[in-house]
Amino acid sequence: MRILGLSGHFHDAAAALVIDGKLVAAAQEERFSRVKHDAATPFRAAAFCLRQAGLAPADLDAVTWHEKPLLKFERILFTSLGSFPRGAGAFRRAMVSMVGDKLWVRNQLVKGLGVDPGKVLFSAHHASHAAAAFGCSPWDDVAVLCVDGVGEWATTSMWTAAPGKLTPIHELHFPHSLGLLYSVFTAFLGFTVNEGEYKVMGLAAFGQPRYREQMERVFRRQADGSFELAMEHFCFHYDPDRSWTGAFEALFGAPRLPGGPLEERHKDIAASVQALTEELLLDLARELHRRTGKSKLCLAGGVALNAVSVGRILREGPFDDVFVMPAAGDAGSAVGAALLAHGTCRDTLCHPAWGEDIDVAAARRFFDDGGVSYRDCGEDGIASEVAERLARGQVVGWMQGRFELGPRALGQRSILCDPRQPEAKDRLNARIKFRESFRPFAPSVLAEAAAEFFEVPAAGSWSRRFMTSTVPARDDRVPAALHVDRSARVQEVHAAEQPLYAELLRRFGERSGVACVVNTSFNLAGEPIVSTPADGYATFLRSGMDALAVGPLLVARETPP
Amino acid sequence: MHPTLAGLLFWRRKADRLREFAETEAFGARDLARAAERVEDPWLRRQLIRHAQDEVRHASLLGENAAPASERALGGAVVGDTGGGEAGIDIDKMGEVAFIAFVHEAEKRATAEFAMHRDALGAEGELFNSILADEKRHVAWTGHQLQRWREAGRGAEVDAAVGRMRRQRWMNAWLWFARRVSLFMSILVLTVVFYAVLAPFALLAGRRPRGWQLAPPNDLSREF
Repeated sequence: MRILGLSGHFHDAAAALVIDGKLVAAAQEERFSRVKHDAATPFRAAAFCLRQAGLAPADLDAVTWHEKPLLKFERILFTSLGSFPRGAGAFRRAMVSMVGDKLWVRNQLVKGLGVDPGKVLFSAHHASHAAAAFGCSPWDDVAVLCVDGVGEWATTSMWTAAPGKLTPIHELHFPHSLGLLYSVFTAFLGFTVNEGEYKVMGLAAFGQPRYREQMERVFRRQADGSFELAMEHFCFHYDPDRSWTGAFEALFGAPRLPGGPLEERHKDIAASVQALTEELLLDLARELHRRTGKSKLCLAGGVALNAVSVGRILREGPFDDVFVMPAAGDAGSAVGAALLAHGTCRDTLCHPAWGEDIDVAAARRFFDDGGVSYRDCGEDGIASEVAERLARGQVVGWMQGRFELGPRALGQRSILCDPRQPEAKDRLNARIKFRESFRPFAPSVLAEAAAEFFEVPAAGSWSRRFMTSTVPARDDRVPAALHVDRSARVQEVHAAEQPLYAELLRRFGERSGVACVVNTSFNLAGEPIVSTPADGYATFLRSGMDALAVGPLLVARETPP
Repeated sequence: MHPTLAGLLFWRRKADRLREFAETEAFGARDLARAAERVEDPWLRRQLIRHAQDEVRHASLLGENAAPASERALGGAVVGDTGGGEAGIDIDKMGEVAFIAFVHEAEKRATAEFAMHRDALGAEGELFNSILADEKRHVAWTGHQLQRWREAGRGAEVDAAVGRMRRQRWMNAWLWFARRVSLFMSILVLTVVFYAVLAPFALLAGRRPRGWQLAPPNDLSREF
């Protein structure tokens, strides 16, 4: 069976190809279009997946879309009408968007891919998320919790899963959504929705949760783990341009303008919404455990990318272990849609590299013809060369193998530097990535050395391959990789799955005494992570990086083109 | 001395304009580098990469000059998203002839615009001199490439692409106008539909149930 899973039409469109139950390729559309969070129908990503497997569209047995467009349309229509007479704006925008485009997914896929209409399938959005979380996990019998903004109607859902069987338990419906609540605060704090949620999480560590009382007034928790938004504070369901009301501002004050100064109040609000999110996810995890009695939990949906909350569930929750796949948001639902159509099969994700590979010959031709000076360090020498440069305090762009699935760079398309230098954080933010000074960086560490630097519990070790939870640091040996609260979103690197990256860490450890580097995504603010050598080179030129490693080829700033 | 409102606005406008130029040049570098990866002709690849390198240098120069202007206007540099994730010009969609024709026409327009800014800014416009020299070279190489294709028997394709690019500004203006009109019409019609036709159904929409709900069956063959 050859099944192509697709997601899109909201944010982070992606394609994934599953052949005989095994994931073969998966990539986000943004890596090809260079439009961050590209929501377009992912034809380029689909073309890549087919190219990777040497297939034509006619060879596919099914193409599965990650959500049910008619149910989504129903929700939008009902919501607009339910808030009559105020919903005219939302109604107009939804009609133009849905009727003009997003409702006709089957036609788009038939026309764009050239597949038979009968081969196009539709999976419920949360079922796609749940199938991805279970299917990529290392376990056969799990409870699954999906929490995101909204799919069709569901915003939160509970499941049990075993090979061949994904069983829904219960779900909460729109507009009562933890993901949307977080997004409202993201917009209120002056950041872009579906992009700035990480910033709110990062900012939270600088504040105190002094707005807890106000939070309780906009958000009501129930004893059974469910919750409700107090809708008099929100207008996202009827106003397409604004998501909070005057009553909300009466509680939290004026919103921060984008790019405006960050006051203590903003940090405290971020800390408060983060604390509420963590507690609510813990409540949901406890309720799910009570209902299912399972010992393993898979988390999915955009809220599962909140690494601080995942860390707390690991430490304080009732489950023995928790798994979060690297693309827990909408991009991963493409993987789930494909696995689900394959009978809810499981193919444990051991590494993140499912995207397009680097063509070293093409990169060499690119540098040769462009008059770019480079050195071929060889497959064996590049790790050593880069480790040496990192130990000298350089910042290096690192492009190796196939690019990652999901929003995090995990050693395939990363910017690396020495974590021992406290000032490296400011340099990376201000001169390399051109982003806000409060944004933290994460470490990649050799799996066998992780416990030396961080308090890593046995639980969560599989998820830590993908940097999906935070842990406390043991000491200050790697200050640039720690947030202000001395926590870190650790990636444990296993030599069996990422041999070259592990070799780089080992070599760096020999020189510096720490088998750990700062790893941040290889992009500039507002841009998608690079995919091809040309993307990497253009980004290298525009940033303050000292060197660029593309496969075995090294371009250094001291030998300018 | 306190800055006047007119002064602040001048520096703000200047900073914004310079930053816009810098971003355009930076995005151009990204698109040109990607195009260089796609083309087969080594000469063309070399020109595209060099052009990308020039654009990065221009972006850096313009950005450096935008920073002090921004400082005078706002009292601080702006850090954060640059909007760099915007769609650019895409050789995969356009094909190489249309791509180069687009670059050729865009460079010609940029040359005229930079010359105008240099003249308008007087001594402060010096910055544009080195950029202008590069822009003229870019017009020349893209023109030369179009000529190479003409000589290789692709004249009709080149002329059609150049014609399309020249018409594109007018076409874009027309499309912009058509979109505004259709948007206005759709707002009008949909507002009438919402208030006049759908109003009775609002009563049926009612409130959704709260708390935990049973999930509907997930039949993959259905869109609902």
